[in-house]
Amino acid sequence: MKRCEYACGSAEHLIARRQFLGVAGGVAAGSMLGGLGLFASPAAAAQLASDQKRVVVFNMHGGLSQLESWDPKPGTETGGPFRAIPTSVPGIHISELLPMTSQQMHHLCLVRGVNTSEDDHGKGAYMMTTGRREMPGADYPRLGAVFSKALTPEDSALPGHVIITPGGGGGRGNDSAYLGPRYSSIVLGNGNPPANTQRPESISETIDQQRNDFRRKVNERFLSRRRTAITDAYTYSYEQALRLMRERDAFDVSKEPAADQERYGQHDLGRHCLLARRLLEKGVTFIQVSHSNYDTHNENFNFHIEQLAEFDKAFSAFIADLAARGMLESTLVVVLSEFGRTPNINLFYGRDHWSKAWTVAMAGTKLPRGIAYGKTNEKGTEVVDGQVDHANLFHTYLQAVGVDSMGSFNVDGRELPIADPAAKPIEALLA
Amino acid sequence: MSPDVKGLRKIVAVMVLSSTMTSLGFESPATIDPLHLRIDQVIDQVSGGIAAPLVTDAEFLRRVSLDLTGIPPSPQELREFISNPSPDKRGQIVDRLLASPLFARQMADMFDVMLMERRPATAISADEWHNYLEESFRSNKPLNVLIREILSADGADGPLRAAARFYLDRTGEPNLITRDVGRMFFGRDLQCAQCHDSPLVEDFRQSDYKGLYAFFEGGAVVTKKEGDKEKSYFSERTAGDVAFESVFVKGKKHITAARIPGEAELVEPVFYPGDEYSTPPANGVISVPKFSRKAQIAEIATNGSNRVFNENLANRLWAHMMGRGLVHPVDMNHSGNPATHPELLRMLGQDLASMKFDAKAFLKELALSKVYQRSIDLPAQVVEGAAAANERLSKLEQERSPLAKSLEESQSKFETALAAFETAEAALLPAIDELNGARAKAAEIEKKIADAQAKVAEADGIVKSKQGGLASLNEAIAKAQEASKQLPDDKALADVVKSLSERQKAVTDAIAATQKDLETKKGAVNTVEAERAPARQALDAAIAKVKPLRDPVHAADQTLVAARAKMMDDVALLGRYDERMQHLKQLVKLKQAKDLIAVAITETSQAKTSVAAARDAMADQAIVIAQKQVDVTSAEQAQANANIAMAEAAKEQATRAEVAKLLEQAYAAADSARQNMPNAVPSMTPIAEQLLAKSNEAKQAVAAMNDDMSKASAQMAEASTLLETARKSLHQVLVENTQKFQGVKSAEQTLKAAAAKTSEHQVTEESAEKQLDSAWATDFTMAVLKPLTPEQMCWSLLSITGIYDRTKQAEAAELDKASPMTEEAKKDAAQLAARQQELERRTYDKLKGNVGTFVAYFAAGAGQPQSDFFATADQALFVANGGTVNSWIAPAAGNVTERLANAADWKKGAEDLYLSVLGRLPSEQEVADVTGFMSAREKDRPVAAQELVWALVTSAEFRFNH
Repeated sequence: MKRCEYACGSAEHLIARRQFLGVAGGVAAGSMLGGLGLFASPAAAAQLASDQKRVVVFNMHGGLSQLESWDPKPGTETGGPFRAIPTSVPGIHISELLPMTSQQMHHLCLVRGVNTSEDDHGKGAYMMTTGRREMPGADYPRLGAVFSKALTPEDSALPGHVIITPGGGGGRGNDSAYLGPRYSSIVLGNGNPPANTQRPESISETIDQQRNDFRRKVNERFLSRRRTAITDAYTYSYEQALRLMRERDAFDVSKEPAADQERYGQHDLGRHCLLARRLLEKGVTFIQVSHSNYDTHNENFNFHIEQLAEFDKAFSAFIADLAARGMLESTLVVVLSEFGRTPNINLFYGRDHWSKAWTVAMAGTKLPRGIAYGKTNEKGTEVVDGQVDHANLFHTYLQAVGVDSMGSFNVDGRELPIADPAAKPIEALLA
Repeated sequence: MSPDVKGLRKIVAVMVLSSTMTSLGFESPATIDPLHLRIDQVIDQVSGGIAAPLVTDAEFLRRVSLDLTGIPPSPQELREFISNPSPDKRGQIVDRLLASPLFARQMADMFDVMLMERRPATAISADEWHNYLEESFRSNKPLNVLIREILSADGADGPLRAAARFYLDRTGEPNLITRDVGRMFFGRDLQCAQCHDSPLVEDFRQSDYKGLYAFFEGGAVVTKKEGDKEKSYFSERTAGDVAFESVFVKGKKHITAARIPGEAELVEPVFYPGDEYSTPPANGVISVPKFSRKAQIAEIATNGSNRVFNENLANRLWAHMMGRGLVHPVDMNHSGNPATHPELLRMLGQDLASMKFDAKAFLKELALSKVYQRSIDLPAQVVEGAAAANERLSKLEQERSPLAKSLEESQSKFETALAAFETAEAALLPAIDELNGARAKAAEIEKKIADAQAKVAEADGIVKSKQGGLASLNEAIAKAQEASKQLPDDKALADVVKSLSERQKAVTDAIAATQKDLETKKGAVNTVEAERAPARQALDAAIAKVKPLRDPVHAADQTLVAARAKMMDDVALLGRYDERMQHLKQLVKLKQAKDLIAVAITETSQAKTSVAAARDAMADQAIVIAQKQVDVTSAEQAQANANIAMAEAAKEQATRAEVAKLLEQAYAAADSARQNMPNAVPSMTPIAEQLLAKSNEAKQAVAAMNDDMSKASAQMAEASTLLETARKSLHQVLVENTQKFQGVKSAEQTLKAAAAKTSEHQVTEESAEKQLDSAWATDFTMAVLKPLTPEQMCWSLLSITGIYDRTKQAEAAELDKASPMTEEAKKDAAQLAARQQELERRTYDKLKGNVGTFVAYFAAGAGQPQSDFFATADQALFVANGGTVNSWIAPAAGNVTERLANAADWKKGAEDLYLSVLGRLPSEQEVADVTGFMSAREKDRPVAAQELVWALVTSAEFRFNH
């Protein structure tokens, strides 16, 4: 078992830990018959909340303009029409399109010197979510799969890798590459719960219990001949399914207080952020929330007014809540895109793709708070200090949640480096 | 094959066998046994007779049916098979399954998944591809021919177009194709050697990757518009040597020609630029170089001479049947991860080639082997195995030392060969640069010539078109003149004639000019063509310069390849020896531990007895001690009494002596007074006499007291002695007691020690057992649990729920109606078989849409290895709550659920249920379970029956082929 540096070692802690393991152990042996779920014990849930590291990624789909958000250049030819406003951290200014977020700046860590040199949507997105450049003949797991594999307890009932999308979804994503489908995303299309988590009408709870009891009996007989890791994984998947059904509420954002729903905003992003908070509290390891669409080749400024108004409300509420609930200590939050947008404003009042100098915002875990790392020049056309790329960031995300990014996964006898072994994390943010 | 050749082949095979087998102590067989026997010989040799028991008939039939046809047997087939008394019934059923139309489908599924890894079908439809594979297996096309077709495919229209899916649905991407050809056809995932020699796998070199890459570098997808659709084809262009450097060692250049794994690099003829193609590249044309590398790899890899190819294919078929490759994972064959039985893999590769890659014949041999028929249960013969282990161990040790020596030699030979190769390569590189320069120059001239020729063609076209115009013009003039003659007054017409004539002149002049231009351009062609000869000469010179430098590179390469193969073999074999010795040691350890545990257990029970006896003795001792203590106490009492008696006597005596003394003094005084006063009245005499008598009396009393005294003294002495004795006796028992207590303590110590020993040996036992368990699970001592593939799950469920048969019957009725068979046709076996096949195909087409649902839940991602098992909650939720499975298992049309619900007798119902779903009869306990479950549910039998069917199809016993 991984060494747990942040456990306090108190008696309560040990008891909670034991309860946690006790319940888990019973389940793994396939003997749990409608007993308590993993999080039914508040002590265990609290323990989990403080121990288990989790990650939330905001994917600003299409390419958020750094100039209209984290790295404004007001009053220059590239700056556009918006002002920069002071934040809760003296000296750091961000765009006036993020007034509420500016008041959470003391929790945030801006990385303003991102240079990924890739202006293609697909390739940029691939690099930002895998930490590597696309290479023919090779595919790498996405962030969520990596974190799910590295951080999710073996016996978690809820999926470790959740992606909340505005529409579609419902199935399993193809984003875990060699880590295998176990770590693929479960896509919650428009925040709906995963498929098949509700019994059909024809199957009552009693029927389900009876048939599952008989299933366990049949298994017991067969497994007395030979029990292996794969038979355990298989029989466990049914117990996990039952637990997931019992915990289906975790996906029901309407169970959150009305005031919170109002505070986060009555729009998709608001609901999805609130759902993300709810899922974090239920113990999901990785949640990605997508916000579409920032690809503003035309009317960049109008689009950003609209889009960021939604984002500002939801994101600031989310950060404030995590901080207030003490969850920021254990949760890494990342706001990323496939790239930024050109300092140059085109004829259609748009900005085009720009990967040479843009910003990724982070918060939480052991990252420093209330800082802006790295710097672009006056017009925002180049990084002049603290330049990093996708691979450095990828390492940093991992290290921030305590995963040794220079280590490797062993998958079916193959040793596979967790992150690009040729790159390093941003040491300055991990001291 | 002539008898001579046959005989020769046998001898060669024996020689090969003996050369590979003697290292493991094999006797060369006088005649060659069938492959399945030889497989078992190798396996038994290694396992030393330790093996799981053979499976029951029922389990065998389910296993082999799933492996060869993808679905479990029907209850009827099971009953027939179980009751069949023939000793050869397992062989017979294998033949029958191999002849089934479902065999071709199952193998098509397997090869589809293996080769395409569920990549989306875009260039070639999934159906077209599947049909191509299925037809290949139906006709039992040799597997090397199948793979040759795939490797040489270009997608040209015709029966082999589908074979191009391997390339086309990888979009012709050379790195992707290189990786997958390496994995799928050679069992080597060279990915990690793409940018440098592999840091993890010692014997994957960057030149392996680049050499294989050279075959596909020139591959290009070309498209042609056909109707409103675009069709793609796989074209090939020429490519030179692949130059590369390691990302770790920058600046050190290497080159490699095309190189098939396990072979030296290809020697290619050099063509002049412009002369390389038999079909040159052009828009929408499948170009073909005169020397096609693709054709080369397709031929050389599959012609039976490439050991790496043969062994990979054999290993994959083995893995399909046994659930695990001899090399596992099947695409990770390298000396750090060699086959569990390298000698067996070699034999399988050779046999597969000598069987002419006959899939059915090869699979049959695998199915007939005992190793295939082992059960999943743990083997029982630990004791016997351990008894023989030491002897085997020392034999292996003896055999190992020459192997270790051989490895040292082959390693040093490899190092030498590598150094020689690199020296030769370094000498070649400058000449190659020159050659590339000369080639580029020649190519440039060819381009110039082609450009000039294009200009000539263009000018020629203009001349021709103008000439055509002139001809029409002439004709028009002639006609106009004639008309003008007939209509002499028509002025307008005359003007036309005039203007036409003017045009005629202008055009004639223009033609002269363009002809002149054409001549100039022709001249230009001649000028550039004149450059061709010197350029070619320069190229020839460069080629001539390269040749004497390249020949040593080729020679060094051949040496290097052979040295590497030898080294890999040695490393692999040595590794396996070490592993086997390790296992034997574990076995010995296990046996020892078991023996020691037995001894320790005996000791424990003996010690327990001793402890009990010692404790018993201690219990008596307490009584004795108490007794003795009582004795001492009473002796003490007696002594005290004697002392008291003595003291009392002494006191009495003192009193009596005092009295006697006083009386004597009184008598003496009275006597003296009597003598002094003899006449005193009353007379003193009687007083004196009385006093004398009293005194004498007192003296006597004193004397009597003395006797008493000595008696009391004697008693006192006696009491003292008795006390002494009692004390001694007590002391003695106390000493004894201490000794006995020590005895208990030491007995307890012994017991504790014995118990500690037991648990210590139990730890050893457990660790040895664990290691052996995992060893046995990977070296085919026990059968491996094989998860059903998504396809097998889907077809098995359709089959056991009766949907497959129902659909087939409907199709049969339709077919009989549409094209009834004549009575004559019904008697013709071939026609009947064709009909059966047609029915299976129709049924398949009707139901195949369901497969995708199972693939979506149970298969790994597209383009990822598909063999790793995983189980997730979403799969379980799909089966538990999704519509698919729940509707299939609902009672209907006489399916197993309905039959169970309507069963007249629960025993029969239970038998039908277990036979149908799990492929075996239920135990008594299981019959009782079903009976209990069903009889409690009289009111909702159908619901109860469906619950039971669900419980069985979701059980591990159903999920795995075992």
